[in-house]
Amino acid sequence: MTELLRLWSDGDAHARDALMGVVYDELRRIAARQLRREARGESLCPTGIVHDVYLRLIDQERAPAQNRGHFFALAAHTVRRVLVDHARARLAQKRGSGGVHVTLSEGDTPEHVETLDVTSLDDALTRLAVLDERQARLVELRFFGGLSIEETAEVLEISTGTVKREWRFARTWLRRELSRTG
Amino acid sequence: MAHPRWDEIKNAFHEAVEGSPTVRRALLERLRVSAPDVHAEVVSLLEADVPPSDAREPAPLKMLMHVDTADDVPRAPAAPTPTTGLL
Repeated sequence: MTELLRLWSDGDAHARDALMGVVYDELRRIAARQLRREARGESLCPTGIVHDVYLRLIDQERAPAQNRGHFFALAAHTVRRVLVDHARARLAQKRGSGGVHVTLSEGDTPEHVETLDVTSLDDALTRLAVLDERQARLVELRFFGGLSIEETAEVLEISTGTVKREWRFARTWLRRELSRTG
Repeated sequence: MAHPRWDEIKNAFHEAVEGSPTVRRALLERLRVSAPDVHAEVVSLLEADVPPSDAREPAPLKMLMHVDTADDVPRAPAAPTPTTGLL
């Protein structure tokens, strides 16, 4: 993957296409696992999200990342931006009808789905980034990128123990912030 | 604007959640006297660090608590339950 990124950086469009073939399924897995819109029973199709993310990632002549870790960090950030854009567009279209919500769909049945307004989370994450940029990146990787503790540690170049501790703190901080604003 | 004592707050939070109830009480008492602003932040965060099953949690926020709890840092041991009226 890093080699494909390098070739893409050199302007090789075939490498870009090959790379996207490699990551498309992974992006779809992330979306299917994590993203859902809970508004009047509609579900945001993961494929639609992946398609938007895909288009934003390939819409560049040069590779936007230098290695695998950097690429997935970028993908996580792009997923966040796509979801927030969807949420804001929906809000603008139909103010007050409910925004886009995200969830980790650990339970697939509706009664187990817990949702969270993605714009509120985005705002809180932006505030967290001012206080602690690494924690905000960590949440982005875990929440929007769907990376495991181990993968997150690899991308951030820190130990898994540090990821666990920082993740717990960041979650708690976000929960408190969201309970204040919600 | 960044909190000037962010690292201190984080360290105190970790010490509190990873330590025993005795350690936590001593830490909070020390902070209450020496750094009231840090104390207030840590207490507020500890109140937000509740178990997923806690019914007080607003439903939309539960998901933040349900993210891979299996690979989380273990919670601090619970305080012993007082035994009353058994003897």
